[in-house]
Amino acid sequence: MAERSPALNTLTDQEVVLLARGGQERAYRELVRRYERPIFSLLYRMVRDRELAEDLSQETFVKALNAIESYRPEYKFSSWLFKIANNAAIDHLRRRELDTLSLEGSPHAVTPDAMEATALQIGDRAENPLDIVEAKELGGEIERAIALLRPEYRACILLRHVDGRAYEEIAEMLDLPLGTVKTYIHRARNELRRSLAHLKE
Amino acid sequence: MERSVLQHLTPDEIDLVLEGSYPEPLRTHVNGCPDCSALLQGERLVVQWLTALPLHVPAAGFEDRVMARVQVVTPRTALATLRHRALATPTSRALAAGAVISVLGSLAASVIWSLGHREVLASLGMTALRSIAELGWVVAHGLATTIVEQPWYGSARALVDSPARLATVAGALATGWAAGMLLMRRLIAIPAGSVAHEHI
Repeated sequence: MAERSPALNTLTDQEVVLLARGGQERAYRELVRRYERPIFSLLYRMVRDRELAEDLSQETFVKALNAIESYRPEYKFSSWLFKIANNAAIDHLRRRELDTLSLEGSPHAVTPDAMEATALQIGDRAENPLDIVEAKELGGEIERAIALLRPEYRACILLRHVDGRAYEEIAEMLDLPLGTVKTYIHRARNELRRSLAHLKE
Repeated sequence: MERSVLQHLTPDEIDLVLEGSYPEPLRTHVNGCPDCSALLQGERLVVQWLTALPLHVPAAGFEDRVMARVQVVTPRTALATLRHRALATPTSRALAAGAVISVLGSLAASVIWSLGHREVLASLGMTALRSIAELGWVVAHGLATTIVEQPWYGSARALVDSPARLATVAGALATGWAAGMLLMRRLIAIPAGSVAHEHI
């Protein structure tokens, strides 16, 4: 991976966008580096297919960066990017109506290799082997429960509690009324609480 | 509005507590209500699990794959920026098209009208010319009258009342004008030598 420019990573998104508009390729790369993980994570959790999530993430960045001149700096760059990503995911889900989870791989994978390649990878932050197993099990359960949520609930809860976005920001990103966003998040939390109740012990 | 101690937590109040604010009336209720206490504990746990979820990482080379499909902006001139802005959104395109159509339409309408009303146009032109000539005459007459009525006019006139004096005054004026021109040229000439901070 290319080394991060110390000058660029101290700038705000808005400042980096200005440099990108001035034709600096390194500013484009900085924006990709800043958001590749959050965007990919959101899309991966939305579509539950690694390859597809990569494709949608690429589409998101390509679309956003090729339209960088139409970005209006009075909005947060990250909100704009997440909005594009979420629209890409929702469009895809509407087209394919993929609402069921397969931690073993994409429902469209037909061979064992394809299933392995598209299987949901459970990340871990633990240090010893036992912790890793436990974290993977817990992470797997949580990912499974998230995947069982309705897509619109899933988008809201991920943006709120995984990405830490404010309700108003989510409402703007998803083009939903604030009250609807709150309702979706409460319902999503209720569903998660019920489906993960056995983990409390 | 006062909150009853018996009232269970509303979704907004649960949010408030999850965000770290825990007003006393809510705390009092939760302490005495096993249902709300369990609910709050469950919600906290869910939020804690979600917050701790790790970020997934795209495959290596993601940045390069994106950049291979991105066209880096070439900085534009002011005219190109104006053109880009005018064509950026459907609304701006409509506005730009409207402006162009109105300008071209006005021009075409005026040409057509002029071709069909040459006599009227000629008559209007003559009237305008006459008015301008009359106005010019009035201004010149007024100016001349004002000058003639000035107290210094007699002595100024005496200066040029013979050909010899007229030639002297004209010569003095020509010399003054030439000296002024030379002075101006010197003042506005670009320095040929080095200047301070030239190396910066």
